[in-house]
Formats: sequence, C-alpha cells, structure tokens
Amino acid sequence: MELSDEHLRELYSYRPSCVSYLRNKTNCEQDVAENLFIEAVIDLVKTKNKEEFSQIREKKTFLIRTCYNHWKRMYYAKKRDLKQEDNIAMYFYDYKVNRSPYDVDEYTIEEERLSTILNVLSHLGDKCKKIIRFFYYEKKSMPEIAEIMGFKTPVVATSAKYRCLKQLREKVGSYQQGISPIN
Amino acid sequence: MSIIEKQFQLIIKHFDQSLSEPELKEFDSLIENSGEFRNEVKIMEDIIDSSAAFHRAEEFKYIKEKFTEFDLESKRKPKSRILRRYFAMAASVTIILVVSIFYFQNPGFDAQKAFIENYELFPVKSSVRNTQKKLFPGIEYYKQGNFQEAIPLLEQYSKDDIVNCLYLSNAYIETGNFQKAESTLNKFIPKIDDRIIKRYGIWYLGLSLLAQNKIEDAEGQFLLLAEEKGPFHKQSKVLVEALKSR
Repeated sequence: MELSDEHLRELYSYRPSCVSYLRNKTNCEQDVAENLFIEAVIDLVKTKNKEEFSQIREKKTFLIRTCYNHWKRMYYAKKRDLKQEDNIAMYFYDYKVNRSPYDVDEYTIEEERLSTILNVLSHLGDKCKKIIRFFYYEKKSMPEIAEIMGFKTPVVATSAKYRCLKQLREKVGSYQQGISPIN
Repeated sequence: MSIIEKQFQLIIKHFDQSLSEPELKEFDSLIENSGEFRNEVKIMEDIIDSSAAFHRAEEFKYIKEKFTEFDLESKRKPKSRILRRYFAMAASVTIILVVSIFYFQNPGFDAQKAFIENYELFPVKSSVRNTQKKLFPGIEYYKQGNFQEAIPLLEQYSKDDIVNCLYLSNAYIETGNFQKAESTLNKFIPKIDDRIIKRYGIWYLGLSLLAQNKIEDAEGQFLLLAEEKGPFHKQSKVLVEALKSR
C-alpha cells in the first residue's frame, strides 16, 4: 500500500512520543529510536489496507509496541547467532541504505552473492520489480496483481512473474561470471 | 543457470507453495539426490529473501526522506510574532478546554497509557519445543517478534490448544488487532481448566479491551483477577482502583 502524504504526516506526528517512550524504556540512541520508528511505520502500512488505515484508532499504541518489538529483536539478534534472513536484511541495510540500526560487522555473511543479487535487483526493469514486490514483499495474490498491473488473467501474471524470476536468476549467473547485469 | 527448465519451475513453485503431490515427490527426490539442485534452491532462496529486504529498504529510505522533509518544513515555517502570539493563546485555550472536558469525562485515567504500561508479551517456555512440535514454526516466529509470519501458523493449530490461544491472542495484540485478540480470548477462556492459565487469558482479554477503550468491559475482567489471589492480582487491583476513581 502506498501512503499519501496526509497519512504519512499523521504517522509522523506520533514520532516524538514513540521515540521518547523507546528511549526511556531501552536507553537507546535517538537515531536508533527514529529508525525503529520507521520500521514500525512500514509494519503498520504492510498490515493494514487503505480502508482499514483510516479506521484504526490505536495507531500510536501499535507503533509504540512495534518499535519496542523491533528493539527487542535487534537486542536478542546481537546476543545470538543470526538466521539467514536476518543476515540478508542486515547486510542490505549496511550495503544499500548505509544507516542500519543494526551492527553487522561481527557476523559472517555471504557478501559476494548477496551483493550480486542486490545489484541485479536494483537494475531490474520496473515491471519485474513491481511484480516481485507485490508478490514476495506485499504478499498480494496473483488475481490482485493481475488487476493492479492490467494483466488479462492471473495466469498471465503468474507467467510474467516466472519470466522475471528467470531473468533475475540468469542475470545473477551472468554477473557472477563477470558480465554486467544491466545489459 | 545449469539446471533444466522443469527443475527451475519446481523451485519457483516450491517457494510459492503451489507444488502438487507428484511435483512435491519429485522435488524431495531432487533435493535428496542432486547437489546442483540443492545449490539452485539455495540461490533462489537468497534471491527471494533479498528481494523482500530490498523492497523494505526502499520503503525505509522513502519514509526517512519524507520525515526529513517534514522536519525541515516545520523548522522553515515562517511565523510572525502576532501569529505566534495568536496561536499560543488559541493553543492555551484549546488545551484548557480539552483537559477540562477530558478530566470531567475521564478524570485521571488514560486507557492507552494504562495498556502500554501493563502489557508484557506472554513468554515462550522452553518446554514448548518438545511438547508442541507442530506449532514450532509459529512459535519460532513469535519468539523472534515476527508476529506477521507467526499468526497464520498459530491460527492453523489453535483450534483446541489453550496455550496456543494465548500465543495467538498476543500476536494479535502485537499487530494491533485488538478485536481479534478479544474474540479469540472470549472464545477460549471458558474452555480453560487450569486456574493460572485462565488468569493469563483474563488479563490479556482485559488489556485488549483497554486498548480499544472499552473501559467498563475491561474493568469487569480486572475485577475478576483483583478478587482472588494469583498472577496479576496486584496489577488488577491498581487498575480497578484507577478505573473506579475516574
């Protein structure tokens, strides 16, 4: 779901109280708390659809709880070995956004392959990026994707997704052999 | 990519959870016998996981930029002295009005604040690993704080399992679905025989009601806990007193 500026402004208005709650409870730094607040905003946006969004009364409560959960997750992740998906997410933050609240230095990561995948993903065509985003990130169903993207049927959308993944896989292979993924 | 097209299709279907029975058998046999196939599954797993991380990071970047924009906007806004004075006066009047209305309607009690101060996630006991193996994936996500992934798995196995109902209702609370938490607990609390677990159920039901500002209903639940000694006795007593004096 893409949020309008109006909705984002509403969520932004909850930032001071969420950040101060988190800082008081955990003693974390201001920028860490602000980043965790953004993570909570993303979760809220992912959880609720547009109709639900304007009806939720407890957005602030949701954001405070989710911020705190992210902090706990980060705290415990630092304490024990990380799972693969955490490694990827954390590696990505470090690599692409470079403002990670997480400390990735101490973990061993399959950097080369992940760097390749992320590089290829950033060069993928808009249509493929959208299909992959809708299906694997926003968890939309194929009929929904077909409707949003104007495919005739969900089967056509499924074939398009398959072609995109194949293209992505081939580009990762080519890139690893030294050929630019852009071509 | 060195594997054949059909095998690639199997891998994609595996990640989309759309393998048919014969395809699943073929997939399992390839996983067992072909190192190349296993490697390909690993690569595709990395690609799919990375794509989710990639899109999340893009969203993170977009929201961060927007918030920085809002920060700058609020700093830049020109405010004349007269306007500022006018706004200050208007704000004072509004605050006095709101506070007085709130005080007369609800003096001294903020349900959201009370919820935040009292709510703690229902903990996962180490014995869960052995006794509830079926729930294991759901519980694992729950332990990681990944409630979005935990909910469908917990829902799948929550029909008769009382403790699981507590995990599920807590996962609902954590994702802001207080209504679902309320209905799950309302459904399961009458079936609970164990006194301690029942008190946990009542406590979380009270908190879900509180979060929805259903104050009278919440008070009823806390009263049940305050009347008898046991877990949450003290907290419930404090809450009931606060609710009564509002």
